Amino acid sequence: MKQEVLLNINGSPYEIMVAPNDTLADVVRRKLGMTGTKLGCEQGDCGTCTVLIDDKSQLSCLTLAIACEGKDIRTIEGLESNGSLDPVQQAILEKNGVQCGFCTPGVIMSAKGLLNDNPTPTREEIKVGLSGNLCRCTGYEKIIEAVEAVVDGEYSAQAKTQIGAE
Amino acid sequence: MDDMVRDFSIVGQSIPRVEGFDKVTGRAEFTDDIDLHGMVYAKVYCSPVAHGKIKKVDISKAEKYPGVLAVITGDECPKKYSVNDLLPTETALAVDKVRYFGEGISAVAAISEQIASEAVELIEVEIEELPAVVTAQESAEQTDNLIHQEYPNNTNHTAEQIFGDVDDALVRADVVVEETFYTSMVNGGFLEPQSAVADYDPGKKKMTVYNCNQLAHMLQHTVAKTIDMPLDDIRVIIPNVGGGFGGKTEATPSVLITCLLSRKLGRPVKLTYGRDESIFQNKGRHGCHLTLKLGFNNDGTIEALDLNVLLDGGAHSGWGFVVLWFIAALTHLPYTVQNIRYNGRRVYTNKPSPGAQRSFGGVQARTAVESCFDMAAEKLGINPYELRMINAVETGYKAPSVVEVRHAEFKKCLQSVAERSDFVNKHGKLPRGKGIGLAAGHYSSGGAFLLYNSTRAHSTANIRVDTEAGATVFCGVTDIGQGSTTVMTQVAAEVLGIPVRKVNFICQDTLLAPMDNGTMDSRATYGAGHAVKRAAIDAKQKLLEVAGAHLGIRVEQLECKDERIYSIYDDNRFIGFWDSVTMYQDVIGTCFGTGDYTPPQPRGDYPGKIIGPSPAFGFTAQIAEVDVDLQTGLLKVEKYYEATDCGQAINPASVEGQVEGGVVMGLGQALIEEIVVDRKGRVLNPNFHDYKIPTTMDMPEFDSEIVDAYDPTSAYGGKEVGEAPTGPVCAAVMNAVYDAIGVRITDVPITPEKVFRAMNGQHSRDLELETTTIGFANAKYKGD
Amino acid sequence: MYLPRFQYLAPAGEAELASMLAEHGDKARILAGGTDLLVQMKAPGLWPDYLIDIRNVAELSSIEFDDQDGLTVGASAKLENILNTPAVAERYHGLYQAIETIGARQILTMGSMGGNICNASPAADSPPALMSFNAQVTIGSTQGDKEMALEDFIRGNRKTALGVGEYLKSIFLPAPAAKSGSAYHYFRVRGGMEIAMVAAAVYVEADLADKSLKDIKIVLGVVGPTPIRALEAEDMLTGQTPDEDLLAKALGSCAAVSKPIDDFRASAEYRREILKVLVQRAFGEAYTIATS
Repeated sequence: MKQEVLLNINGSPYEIMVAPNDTLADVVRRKLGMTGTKLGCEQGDCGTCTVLIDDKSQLSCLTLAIACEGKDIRTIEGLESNGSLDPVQQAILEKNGVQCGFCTPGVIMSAKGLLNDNPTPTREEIKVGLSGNLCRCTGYEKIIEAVEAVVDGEYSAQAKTQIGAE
Repeated sequence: MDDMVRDFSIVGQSIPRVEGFDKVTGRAEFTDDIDLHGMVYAKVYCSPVAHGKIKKVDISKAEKYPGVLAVITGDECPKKYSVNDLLPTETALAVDKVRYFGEGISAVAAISEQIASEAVELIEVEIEELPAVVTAQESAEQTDNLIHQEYPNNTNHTAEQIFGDVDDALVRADVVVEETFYTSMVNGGFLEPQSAVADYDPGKKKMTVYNCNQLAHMLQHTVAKTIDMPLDDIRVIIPNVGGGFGGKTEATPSVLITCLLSRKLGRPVKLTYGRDESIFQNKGRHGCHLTLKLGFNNDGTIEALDLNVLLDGGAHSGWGFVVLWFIAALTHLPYTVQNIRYNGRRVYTNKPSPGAQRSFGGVQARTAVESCFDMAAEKLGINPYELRMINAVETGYKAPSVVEVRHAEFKKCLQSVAERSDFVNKHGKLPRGKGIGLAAGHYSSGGAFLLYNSTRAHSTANIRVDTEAGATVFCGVTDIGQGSTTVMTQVAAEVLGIPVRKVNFICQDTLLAPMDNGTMDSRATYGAGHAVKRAAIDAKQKLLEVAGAHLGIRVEQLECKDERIYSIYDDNRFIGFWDSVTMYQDVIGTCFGTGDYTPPQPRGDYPGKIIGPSPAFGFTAQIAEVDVDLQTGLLKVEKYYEATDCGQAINPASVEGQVEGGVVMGLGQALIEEIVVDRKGRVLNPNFHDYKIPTTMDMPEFDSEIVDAYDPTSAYGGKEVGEAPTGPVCAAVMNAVYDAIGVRITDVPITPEKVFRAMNGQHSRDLELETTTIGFANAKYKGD
Repeated sequence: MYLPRFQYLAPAGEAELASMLAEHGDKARILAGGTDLLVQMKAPGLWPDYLIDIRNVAELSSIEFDDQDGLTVGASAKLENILNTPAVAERYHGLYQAIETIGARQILTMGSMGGNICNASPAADSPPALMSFNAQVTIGSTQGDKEMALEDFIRGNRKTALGVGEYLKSIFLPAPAAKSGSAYHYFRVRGGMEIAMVAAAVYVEADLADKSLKDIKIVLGVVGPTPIRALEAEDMLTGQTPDEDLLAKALGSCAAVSKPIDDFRASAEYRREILKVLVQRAFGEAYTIATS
């Protein structure tokens, strides 16, 4: 039986009909058109679907939407603000930590979750913190460098960004 | 080297990906993100059996399930297809027979994915199971259990290539080494599972296909021929691709199934594979048995190379024909051996079919050659680094295969890694358990198998420069994450002297972009790069003429930079670039340019001559430092040195990213990846839980360098880097393990158990046949 | 990949949970973090009619430590919260090590130790460590609570002692002795997101005077359908000051009682060899902590 739930996503209230077996990933992607959250395996083995729930990184493919009422849900769409990128987004973009881009939203949300808990992780802690996100393109090196750069203060909050070289 | 030639503004800059903003914000659209009006969803019934005759497929219950709109079986489209029509064996859905575990037998279209999945459960299939043929060796011996009736001995193809006189050379050689190797069947592991949306317009009778594919035009061809529609009624649009690595060059059944259903229903149909289906469709790397003999003189010069290859082709043809010949080409280069013999055979097995994967044929070749080089080095008493340097190709080398290496800084790569790692002082001298290993390789750049077997241009670019949009380039090469769009944008921007954000790159669309061989075989930077540069120059020339007339300066004395067209003798005499464009528009018309590229025709007259030759080659040298836990055999690759000759790096950060990604992919195969099937051909690890690709915790410490190089035959001096780095990784690790424990492991993945047993005197080659690709489920060591 | 259809229930407290379970019996499964259950439901086979989500049952998520009594962890307490409990890192080192390896960050924030135990995978990380601390579990139902040793609770591959209408309430670990040490060592091939191929948990209490072993628990993980207490090895070592020969005998005994499988990841023979190495290393670490 479908029921109406109120989901707080990226700071906005969404009233939607969900079936008990709808995952949060499917709801944001299919019902709300927020396709930034991607699906790599749907079995909890790749981290691609990672979102933040109450500031903690979680797998949206193994989260029931119906169980998310009253929680603060953040997807990748919630990070950027009208062209101003979150420091982690900016760092990943500028340090070339993005290639095909499919793992990228999950990686960024995972990094945000890590930094929420520990704003000054060491390189090793960054690697452990991101070990739940698979990437096949980058070999991870530039992703780690990007997060290190954020930790080092190279990217301040919500800096403006320009697309392409100027 | 003329310094003026390399005084670039934008080429050589590590600019962020031009589509990067969209990717980091989640805006970038991938195939499964597409939502069209009236779109419905397809799911596939996958065969639970690896080999069998289909007796009955009863779709009646599925058809009646509420919400189901159509159900199809193999009879809907029994036409066989393949890559470029080479030895076609595959069908959209199984017809009469299933040949691999997970093969699609029937497909349902329904109003939701949930309903489609539930309806698939209602399909009833009866299969008369046949014995599954699961290893290449068994397959080669079959006379009656044929996977494809028309291929006796299950042999898909054989290849033989001979240059010089190998037998004579082996006799003359002072040292001969021989060894047998096995490189595993691995999967591309791209994070985006294959997905397709087909949108048939019943009014115009035209089909639009959205698919994460690397070769838009080849896909267009395959669809047209297979479902029998006119080529120009089909439009292929490729959204962002979540990784391809070669595995998305072929048309997967997902595309054909959605086209068939869409045409039947007159509305859009989407099919996205689960991870398991993605692994069943595979199109990853061929498992390969290699027996290699190398003959050397006492002074270290290589005399002879004799290679036998048995390639495990899985259930279908695909790229197999090409891989078989490619291994031949990738084996003797990058060394100067003159006497070469190659014998290859590709057989079918009842396993998910391999196709093309990064360093296609290169991993197999390098694993054997680089390991044997080390074996020879030991016998000769020459350091492995020295032995490479003695035989490494240089610019201008002409191989016996009549292939010319027109540019090479291969020796620089070898020197670079040897120096940075202090290889010569470490090799053979580290404490037991620690090892250092060298391996090197190369890959073709800009070549690629002809799509049409004609002299048609491999890449064409059209450009339109106007004040309404800027400079808009139309070119068919696909960005699969390797950064081709950014590189092409940099090339166009460099030629025209305008900022990157004024360049629009329209690719990946057969309606808008001219025919292109696409993204494969590392041809984008070199091949499409040439086309884009030529097109931009063509447009630039027209603008220079107008500018010249306005300024009273000859065209040859004008240059474009910083959005100006100026005199090279007096940069105070200039006109704004866009003012020149305006003038051109007003006086002459819209400014267009076009350019194309075709590599030189392969020369020589020998079997397989069209596969392997390339206008350029990228080179790599690599050194792995490993640490073996002597109690458990657990192997850690602590540090990895790499040096790349990719000519001029158009975008250095992108090059580094390709190296790092390519090496880690190689380490995955070297240590932890393998598609495992049981004796019945059932895939045991069709998920990311058990098919393990490297995580952040598996990274080595990287130390990589782009050696200073510039290939004058390339548009801006650049060559490939997408594939060479993956080739030698298995061999580097094998050589390092030998250095660490004194035992040579000759098959991958190099699991801790293999290392442990090797340290205890049991070698993988003593395993009975069943283990390769079947994992240790049936491991039996001689004497157990 | 779709979850089969089910009805979703979210009890507000334990009493409601117990009565829902009593009502629906084996047609219901409890949902905690979902990181095991939902994965299994996406594969064919597991299709409960009801999922009872315990996220609102506050009584089940608490973590309490008392210096005299010990540590009580509610069944649904998140793994991350257990790791962040100072007493766990300080007094139950082996358990800390085990929980850290259960999964990557996302699993630690979503998953629970109760779920890890109730899923009863032979490769689960927390059970061997818990058993080395003599863990007890409390089971609830409408009939009231009952207690049993964890080693009796885990019955087999994915089988626990939970009967129809019963649920895991909490896990209790007695306070470890003042001079004790513990460790959990595992063997895995990939560096992250990996289940253990073999594991060993050791708890040691030592006499500081002669360094003899007053108490030792050795639990072998992943080498049988359930974790195995190496009782014979423990007997050999209790009261003794361990030397190389004694240890070697004890390791041999561990290998002898283990029942590892042959599968495509590794052979049984190899797993036995690794087991010995892990027990040795876990013992070494625990003993060093205990005698320092």
